[in-house]
Amino acid sequence: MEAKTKTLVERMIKDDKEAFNKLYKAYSAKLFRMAYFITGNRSDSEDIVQEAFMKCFLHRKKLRQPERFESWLYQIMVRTAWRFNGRKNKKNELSFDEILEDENNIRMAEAIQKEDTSGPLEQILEKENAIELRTMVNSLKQKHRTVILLFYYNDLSIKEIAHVTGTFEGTVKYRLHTARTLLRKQLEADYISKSEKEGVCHE
Amino acid sequence: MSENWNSKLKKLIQSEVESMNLEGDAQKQILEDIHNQLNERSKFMKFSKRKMMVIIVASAMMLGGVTAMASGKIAGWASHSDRNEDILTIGELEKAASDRLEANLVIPENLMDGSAFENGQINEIQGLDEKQNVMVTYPEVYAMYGEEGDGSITLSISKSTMQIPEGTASYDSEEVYGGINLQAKTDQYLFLPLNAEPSEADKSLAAEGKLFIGTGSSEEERKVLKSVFWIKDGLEYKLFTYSNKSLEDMVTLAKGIIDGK
Repeated sequence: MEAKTKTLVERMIKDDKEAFNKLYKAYSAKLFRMAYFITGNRSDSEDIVQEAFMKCFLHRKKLRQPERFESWLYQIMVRTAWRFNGRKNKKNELSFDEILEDENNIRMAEAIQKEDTSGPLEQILEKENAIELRTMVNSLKQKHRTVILLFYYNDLSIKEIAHVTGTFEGTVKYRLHTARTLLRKQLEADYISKSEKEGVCHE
Repeated sequence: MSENWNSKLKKLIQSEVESMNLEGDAQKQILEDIHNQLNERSKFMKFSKRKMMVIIVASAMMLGGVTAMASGKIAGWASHSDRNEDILTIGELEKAASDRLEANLVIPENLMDGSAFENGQINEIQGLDEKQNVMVTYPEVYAMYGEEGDGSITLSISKSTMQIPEGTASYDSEEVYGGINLQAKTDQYLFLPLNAEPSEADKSLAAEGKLFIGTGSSEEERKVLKSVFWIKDGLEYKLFTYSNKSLEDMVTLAKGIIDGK
């Protein structure tokens, strides 16, 4: 964290609303993007940003280490988004949890990092555009979307994701594995479907 | 998955996330709404504290105050805060409270239901006679607990010169727990705007001691106060809430405080 940001956080903790405004301006767009990725809804994401910053200011005194402001803010936003989504209908979500919710899959999650695969998937990735990716991401459960977001967008470590989401590291690992497996399945299925339409032969 | 797959997925996700924009107008509007809500909340919190004072004073009247009231000395109560700002850490509250009550207090940071300490206050309670002369004063410590700043449960501790009189107040439940007498009761409260008059029916209920009336609310509000009382080491404890918690829940929380859980 930059010294300037740390100073702003310290000032906010001491009730400086101007410092809070500056932090809001610095982080609100990023928080909105993250919320949008988790919820897939603009209006909800704006509400989540508002609620998250409200909590940020109301609970500022509880932030003991100003240098941990970012992960603290992510934590507030993620949990606000989860609670927000919890109130909504979950009928569009897939229920693949039970498939991979065991130790084997945590090990698979670790092993998958080393796996060297090539094939249609990479071709798909090159072809897929952001809209298709969004559709696929939307079909994931919010906890899987969240882990994907924190891992790939925020570059957080497994340990940091566990802290932000309030879960164990093993849980984060299997959720990451689950999310990537589901994305992969859908990307491949989509590719096969497209290829069949285009008359491409798969061996 | 290969590094290639990882890096491409990362690139796609970053590009996807970055494509979502918070419009400038919306960004400004959200900040404005945040400040409006913070201001409203601040007013509400001040109002809540005023209401809380009404309840606390009423609680004092229902308990130890009964003795003094019966003797004809005390006609009313007033409450003054020791300081303008809330005490925000449990350590600071414990220290300040121990000094004021001249006791080694341990105030819980969390209650058994997970409610966390949010803020505290130390007030001076004054018992006044009919001519508004101060007849008795004693400090009372308040610790507010809740979730996300709602301060929905309050623990008050005082070293009152008055003792809880046995048999002078009716309780919904009473039991001895760990050698301590725990008394619990529910009370009906009516809060009215400053200039509003209670109805005749409410006045009758108030006269019968079945309704406590307070003023200062922006609109008429009816609340049920659930309270638990006990004395330990010469200190009076009151745990009370307006929330949906049952009286049994409150007794359980009180037992947790007694046990130091």
